[in-house]
Amino acid sequence: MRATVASLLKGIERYNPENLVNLERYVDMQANENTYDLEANLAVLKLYQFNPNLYQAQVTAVILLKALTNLPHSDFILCKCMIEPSRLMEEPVAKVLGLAELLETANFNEFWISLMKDLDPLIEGIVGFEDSIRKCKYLEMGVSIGSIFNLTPISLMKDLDPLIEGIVGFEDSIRKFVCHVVASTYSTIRKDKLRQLLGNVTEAQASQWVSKYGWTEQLDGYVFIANQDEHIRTKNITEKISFDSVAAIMASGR
Amino acid sequence: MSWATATEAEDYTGYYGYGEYDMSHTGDPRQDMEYERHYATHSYIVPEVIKNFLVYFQKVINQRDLLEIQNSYENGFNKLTDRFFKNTAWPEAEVVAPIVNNDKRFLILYKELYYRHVYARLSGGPSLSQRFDSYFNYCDLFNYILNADGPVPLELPDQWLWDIVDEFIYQFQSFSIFRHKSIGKKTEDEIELLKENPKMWNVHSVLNVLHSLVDKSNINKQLEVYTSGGDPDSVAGEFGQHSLYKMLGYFSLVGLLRLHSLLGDYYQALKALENIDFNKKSLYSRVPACQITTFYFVGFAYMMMRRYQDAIRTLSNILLYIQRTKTMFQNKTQLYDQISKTNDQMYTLLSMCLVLYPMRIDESVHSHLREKYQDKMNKMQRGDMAEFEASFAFACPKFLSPVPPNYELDNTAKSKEPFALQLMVFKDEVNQQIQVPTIRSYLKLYTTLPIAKLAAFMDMSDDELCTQLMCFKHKMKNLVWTKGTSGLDGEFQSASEVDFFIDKDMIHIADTKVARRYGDFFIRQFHKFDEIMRSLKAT
Repeated sequence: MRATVASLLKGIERYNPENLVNLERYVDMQANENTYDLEANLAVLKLYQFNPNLYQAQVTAVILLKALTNLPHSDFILCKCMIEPSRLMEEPVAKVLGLAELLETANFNEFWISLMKDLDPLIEGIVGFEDSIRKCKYLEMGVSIGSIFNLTPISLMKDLDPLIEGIVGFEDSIRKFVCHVVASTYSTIRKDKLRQLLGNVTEAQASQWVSKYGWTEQLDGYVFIANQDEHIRTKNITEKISFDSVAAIMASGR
Repeated sequence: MSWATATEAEDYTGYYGYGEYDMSHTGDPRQDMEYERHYATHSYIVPEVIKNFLVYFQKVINQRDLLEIQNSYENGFNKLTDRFFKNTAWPEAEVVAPIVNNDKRFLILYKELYYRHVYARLSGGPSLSQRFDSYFNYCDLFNYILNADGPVPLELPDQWLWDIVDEFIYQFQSFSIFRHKSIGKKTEDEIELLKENPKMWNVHSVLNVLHSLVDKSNINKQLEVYTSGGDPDSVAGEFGQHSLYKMLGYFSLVGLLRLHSLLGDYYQALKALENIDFNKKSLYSRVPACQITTFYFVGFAYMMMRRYQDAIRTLSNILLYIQRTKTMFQNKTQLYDQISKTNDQMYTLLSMCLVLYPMRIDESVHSHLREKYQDKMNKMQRGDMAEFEASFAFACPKFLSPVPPNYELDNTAKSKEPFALQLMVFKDEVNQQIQVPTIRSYLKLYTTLPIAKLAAFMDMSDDELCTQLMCFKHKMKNLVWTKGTSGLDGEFQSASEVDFFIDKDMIHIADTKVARRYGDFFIRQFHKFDEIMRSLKAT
């Protein structure tokens, strides 16, 4: 499929609206099979840009969500730059923009909460039910509402908005991004904090992520990431004058 | 001219999609123009000196005398323009035709110059029919070049070839803006004409021309082979070996860079250049205007993509180049004005990038920046969004909408949409990292700093601060080009002045300390002194 699509993107073919159906199907395929092809997705947005009457909000939303799975790359910006401003304010695209904002500002806790809010109405009722049970339990303990959401177990996350649900591996892709940011920020991080950032995964799941990245769990409840002072250290830049730059002067001074 | 007699220009209709255009319609722009033209120019007598110039110009083009063509193009035409046609159009092609024996090819080239001059110099700009006619003329020109069985017997100086591609896109841009301008300013006839000719200056036609020129010349293969040290001619093919095709192909790549940027498609913009090696002095970089355009759009695309380090490198390279070669352009007024404007725009882009991503750059570029942009940079550093907005508006290209508007409505708001979108995306990005400069300014003061202490400085909770610190890291770790020709590739790096990491509850900070530099200053003074001495001796 990737090869067939590549031939649709060559030269002037790229702007042929007749290819749109195939390209849109390819977007679906990427969602189902957890693959990613930025170039093809941008071609879809380009065709929408050239033919506004063919625009499809659902496909656009999937493209944007897929772009989020490729963070820390700035694919999301590339996509955003090609969507009409009025379309950006429509649902479900606007919702995805909100999620992107949270991820781009490393507001991971808020991000997971926000994902929870977008539950399918049917399940929302059930979740509300569960939450209210928790609320009783935690309010007794004096815990704020925010952290109740944080404590939502992973099993419930599966019942997200059908759109996000349709994107296989969406949450794990985001977790990869979280790990990327954590790895560049921390030398050691509290394990419970890490769990929270990963969307309140279980202890065991957190341990899986830790070992996946070759980090180590310490006895004091911290996870050791890396010795950052090897590459983050104060640089002293002193002036170096190359021989070449003074050679000409010396020659002219003869 | 074998070509001119063998086929009429009209036979090429269809290739660029304007064939569907209904010739029988009453609003036919060609017929209308025919009429206007006869009406307006019937009695115009062409001065002898113009006649002589045109005959000579035609002769050297037919003889393929590149040097003389260049001379007529760069000097002759411009001098006569200043003398006779400062604010008026050159004689119509119909008037010129008998002077040059109805040489169709020459007339197409002549009209290319004629309309370009109308766009640049005539007050009020081109009329709608002139816009249409110029479009037809470009179609004729590109059909002549692209639809021939073999390479056409034509040679033009690189500068002219660049100007053709550059002007073609400029006129497309100008048309796209024109058709969105408020309907009140257009006559009903004009609106009718626009509605009946949706294919005119259509984005597909423009893309088609550029892609066709790229394909015909095999320029991408040629560049690939050239980069790997081989002989481009070995893959150039029949057409691509000829300078005319090769250079039009190359310039069309830059044209695509520009066109895609105007449409907000920065990925395709950079992809168009994926076979061009910027870091190597290229065979193809002999036209300064092309060089500057390329770097401007590449720098802009990088900035939008949050690849600040690449943007800063690209922009400071070209600004340094302009600084060194400025004197070359001083006697070419139009080029000089254009370069000065782009120069200022690029300094503005650079200033924005450096506010977002402080790093060391070339000393002479930096000192100019300090001199002229320090105020603005200070404001942006303090998070002044209005200043970011003003700088962006000044430095960005003129974004376009690729689709015709609804002519029944007032499109004033709609016409600003493409710009508004790009501005919004940029502002969203800046807003996301608005705290970074403040955090950086605190970090600079310490080598270690407890999270709680910085949180108190920033008036945030510890958790909020940790989020901000992660955001700092995410935004400062950019994709950076390291090797290969494709500007899209790269690896994640962080070269920002201040860096840090968190160990338990402590922030460890790594600063960049720069010792004062004297050598550069002295070397420059030596050179200046030497120059003065030499010019003294010469007099």
